[in-house]
This record gives sequence, structure tokens and C-alpha cells, in this order.
Amino acid sequence: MNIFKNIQKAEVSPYLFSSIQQKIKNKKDEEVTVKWAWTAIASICLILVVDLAVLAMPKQNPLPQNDSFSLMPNNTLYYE
Amino acid sequence: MNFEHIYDQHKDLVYNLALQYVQNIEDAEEITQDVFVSVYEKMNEFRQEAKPSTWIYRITINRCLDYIKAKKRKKRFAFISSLFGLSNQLLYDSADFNHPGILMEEQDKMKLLFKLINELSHNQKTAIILLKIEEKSQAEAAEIMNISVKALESLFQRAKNNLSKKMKDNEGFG
Repeated sequence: MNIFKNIQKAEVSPYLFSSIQQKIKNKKDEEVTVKWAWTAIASICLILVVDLAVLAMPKQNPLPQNDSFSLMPNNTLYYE
Repeated sequence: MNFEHIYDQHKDLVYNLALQYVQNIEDAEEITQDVFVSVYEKMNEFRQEAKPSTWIYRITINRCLDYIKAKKRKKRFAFISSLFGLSNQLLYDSADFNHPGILMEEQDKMKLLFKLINELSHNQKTAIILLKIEEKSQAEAAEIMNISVKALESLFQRAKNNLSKKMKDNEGFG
């Protein structure tokens, strides 16, 4: 087990910190893009749901045309 | 906590620990980057219950084990793809032994030793790395591994026995 004593400590590359900073920045940008994508998807879904709700709403029976225009159901002009 | 300060304090710890797990400069650098990205993201969640170094040790060990698992998976997939002719890529092993902390004349012997260590279970490997290579005390290593000192002792004993057996069976250590 003494063989492990031969392993020396290695030094980190001086450029590693800037790589890490770049990675953090990329991740943040990616998160923003993902957020926007989800917002867009949520908006489209909301519009679809509203559209479907409007289509599925029970239609009110329109009044019979003669009622709505108060038309006489017969040809008699005068009541006797 | 200032991120740059944390990096300066722990960069060697993370890099060297990663090197002991993957024995390759490129892989160790990639793991170091991932560990510090993770530290940056979780910095605000860190509660001072454990020492920052213990916390960073844990993140590094987990990251190393995940990295090794992912690499094995990739290799397996590349092998299957090559069998079915899906990939013409040569199966090159990027995890070639490339450990900057080992002298040239020791390279062959250490390469073989690390090959045998890599055959141990993850826990046994971690126990050997922390106690023998990183030279942590039993209490520190147990805290990092989140187990009791007694459990670590028996884990290390098993790791040592397994490794000695493998070394005996291997001609390079005969």
C-alpha cells in the first residue's frame, strides 16, 4: 500500500477558471432560452384551451325567426 | 461565499480527486468544470452543517462516479453500434492512462494498479482513494462518505484484501 505515496499532486490548468465561467454563462443563456420556449408553449396551449372552451359551449337556441321578427303566423290582416 | 474564493481554495482538491478516479487529464478537467458549475448553482443552498470542503468532496465523488457510468454506457453503445455497422467510428478509449501526478518510470506499474482499483466496487474504490491516496483521516473520510468510522474501517479492510488478492493474481505485481 506504500506504492500510493509515489502519486504526486498535479496542478490545475490556469485556463480552467475561464472555462468554468464560460460554462456557467452558457448554462444561464440556455436557461433563459428554455424559459422563453416554455412560455411560448404555455401561451399556445392557453389559446387552444380557450378556443376549445368557446367551441364546446352549449349554443343558445336561436328564437324562431317569426318570433324574433314578430311576424304573423297567418295571412289575416285584421282580427275580428 | 465568493465563488472565485471557493474555486481558489478547492481547485486542487477537486482536480486531483477527479484524477484519481479517471486517471486522465481531459476527463479530470471536464469533471472539475462540472463540479464548480454545480457548486456555483448550489452555493446559496449550502448550509454550514458540514465543512465546505466536505461538501465539495461529496459533489466531486458523485460527479466522478456519474461520469464513469456515463462513459461505460457510451462505450457499450458504441460497441453495439459497431457490431450492427451503425457506426464506423473506431472504438478508441479516450480514458487512456494519463496521470500527471505519476513519474514516467512508475507509469506502467501505476497503470496496472489503477486498473485493479477500477475493478473494485465504487465504495471500496472511494475508501482507497480517500484514505490511501488523498491521505484523509478515517473520521474525515467517513464524514465525506456519510458512513460511520466503523463501517469505513470494514469497507477499507475489504477493499485492501480484494486489491491485494488482485495484485497477487496479477503478473505485474508478482
